[in-house]
Amino acid sequence: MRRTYINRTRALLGASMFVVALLLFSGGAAQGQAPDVRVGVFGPLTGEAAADGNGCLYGTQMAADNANARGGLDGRKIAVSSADDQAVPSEGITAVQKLLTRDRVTSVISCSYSGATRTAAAFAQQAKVPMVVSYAVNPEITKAGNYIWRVFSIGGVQGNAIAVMAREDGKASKAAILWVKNDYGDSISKAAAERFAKLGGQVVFNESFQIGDKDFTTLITKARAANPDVLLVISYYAEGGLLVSQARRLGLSVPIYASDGLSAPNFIELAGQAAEGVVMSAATNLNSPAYKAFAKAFEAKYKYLPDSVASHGHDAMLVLLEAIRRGDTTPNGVLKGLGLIDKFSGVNGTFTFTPAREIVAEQSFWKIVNGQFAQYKLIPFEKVK
Amino acid sequence: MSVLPQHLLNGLAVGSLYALLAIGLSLTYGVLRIIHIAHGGVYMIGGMLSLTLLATLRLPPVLALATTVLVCAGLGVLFERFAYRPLRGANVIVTLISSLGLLLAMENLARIVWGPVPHSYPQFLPLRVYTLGTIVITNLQILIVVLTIALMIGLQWVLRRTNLGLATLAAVQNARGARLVGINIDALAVAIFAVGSGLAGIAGVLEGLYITSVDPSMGAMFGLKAFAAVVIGGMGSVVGTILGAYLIGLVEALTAAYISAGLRDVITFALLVLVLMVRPSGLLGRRIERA
Repeated sequence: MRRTYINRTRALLGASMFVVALLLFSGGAAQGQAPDVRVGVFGPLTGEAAADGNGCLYGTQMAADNANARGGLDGRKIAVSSADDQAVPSEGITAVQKLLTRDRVTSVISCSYSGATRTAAAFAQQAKVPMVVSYAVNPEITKAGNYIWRVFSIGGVQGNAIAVMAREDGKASKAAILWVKNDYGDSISKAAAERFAKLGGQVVFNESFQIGDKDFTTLITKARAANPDVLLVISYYAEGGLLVSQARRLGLSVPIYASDGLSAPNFIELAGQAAEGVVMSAATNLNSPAYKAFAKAFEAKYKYLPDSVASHGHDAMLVLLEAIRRGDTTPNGVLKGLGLIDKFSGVNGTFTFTPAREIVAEQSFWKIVNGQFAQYKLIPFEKVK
Repeated sequence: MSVLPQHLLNGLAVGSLYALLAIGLSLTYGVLRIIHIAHGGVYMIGGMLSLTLLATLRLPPVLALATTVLVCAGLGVLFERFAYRPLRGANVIVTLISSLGLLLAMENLARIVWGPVPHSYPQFLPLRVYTLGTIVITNLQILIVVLTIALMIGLQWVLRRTNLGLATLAAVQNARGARLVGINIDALAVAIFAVGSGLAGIAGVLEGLYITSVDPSMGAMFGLKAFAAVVIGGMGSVVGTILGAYLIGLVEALTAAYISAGLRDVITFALLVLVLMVRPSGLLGRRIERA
């Protein structure tokens, strides 16, 4: 009998504690803060492109953390939910779907490449969820519709800028263009080839390679035979790093102007000594005070220097937060807010949105000096339109 | 056309790497009828492990290379003992699934240990570039081709002149017959896996040097190409496998040179299909007995 009695006391005690806990929790929810504002971020968090996806995600996270430290949005915290697309186009849709159904996000940021971003954009447009694209450059992306915005210059603008640099800065007249065969490489290389020819230069070699290629010996052999005086490399860091290091090893020593895919620290790690002197589009002015402050805080937190994808992820989040401030936290409120932004200053510089939801911004170039990225040149937007 | 010799040389270098990997596949299939897809994983471990030994632990290259070869050989022996031997006699599909599992496990383990991104590979050989007119040859390409051919000749010597080699060839011809005349298949299996996996480790190191980087996903596609070399050359024929490997290397280089780099893999595997259609037993394979 005594045993049963003790058990009953314990049971009663347990039950009452449970009720108290329940009351405490429900009370907390009733009188505590409003629920978080959820923003979804998707990109390649694993796989070959993981460095870009994660770097960009860190950038968005940092912008959210900073806003939260200053009290959030009218007292509501900003929560970042992430989904992995491995830079695979079909996974872009799955990732956005996951963010919408699992995390119930109010809007989405693309931290991914053009292929996955394009499929995701079509999906987001259909689902009527605003999406801000951090660094994917394919011009078709924003054509998915009015819900899709971008804080990065489109591939055509970047291609034009690379051609202008090669002609004016490099004084080159015979270009060999090597580009990665996907949306990104296609849009930038086409513009670069056209603009280089328009500026009086001659494209003596123009060929693509596959994403994931590792042996560029044959391609370099062919390019070298065309006798170019400049190499335009439109690539991501993984292929670009190997291409540049193998080109230098095979004695192809002409100046290299590259796309922003090579503005990642991993490129320097991969190409090593061969990276020296390479000039690349980077979409960020390293010398601006806003960028310097961002880079310092980023490095303190993540123990490496941020790259272009990180700073653009950061700006994408800032734009989104500004839109939520001006509109509200519903998808349509965010969309309305985006439309109200006229001139925006982020860590990458100042830009305005065109009616086509693209940015007007000056084009920045970096150069690798002593194994590090250094600010090199700025080209006004008028010159590369 | 003046760059043709250059393209051929590039193809020979890549073909050599395929040959180093394909030997192990050829022997394991020839003797044990195992489609050892995980072999590409051993090659990847060779690349990644040597990276750590060279870049992080800063071992002298010779020591790093020796350690890598030993570890890879040991890995192969472990696979034989614990993944394949219990399945011996089972359907070839069963061992293939086991092998795929090993490959995936190795790849994902490597992603955890070394991270998913490619790493720059320490170039411990001082690079020399020789220019002959329009042709550029690096000492690395020469090393890869010469070392591979030397290893292949050595292997042929072992196969034809030693008891172990003769036992191997006997088992390739007829495993049951070999057992009847007293050849210890278990001991032979260990030897074959050790040699094949050691060669895979060497291939991993050479690939790192040649490509200038290594990453955890480097093994899957490379292993498939090596397997294509085995099939093209003739399942179980060592000489055929080596020929198949060089054929693939050359076809890849010439495709990239004169058609398109984008079609490289397409043409390689189209060649595989073509060989299977015209000569199902491969270039030097024995005729397949029809049931």
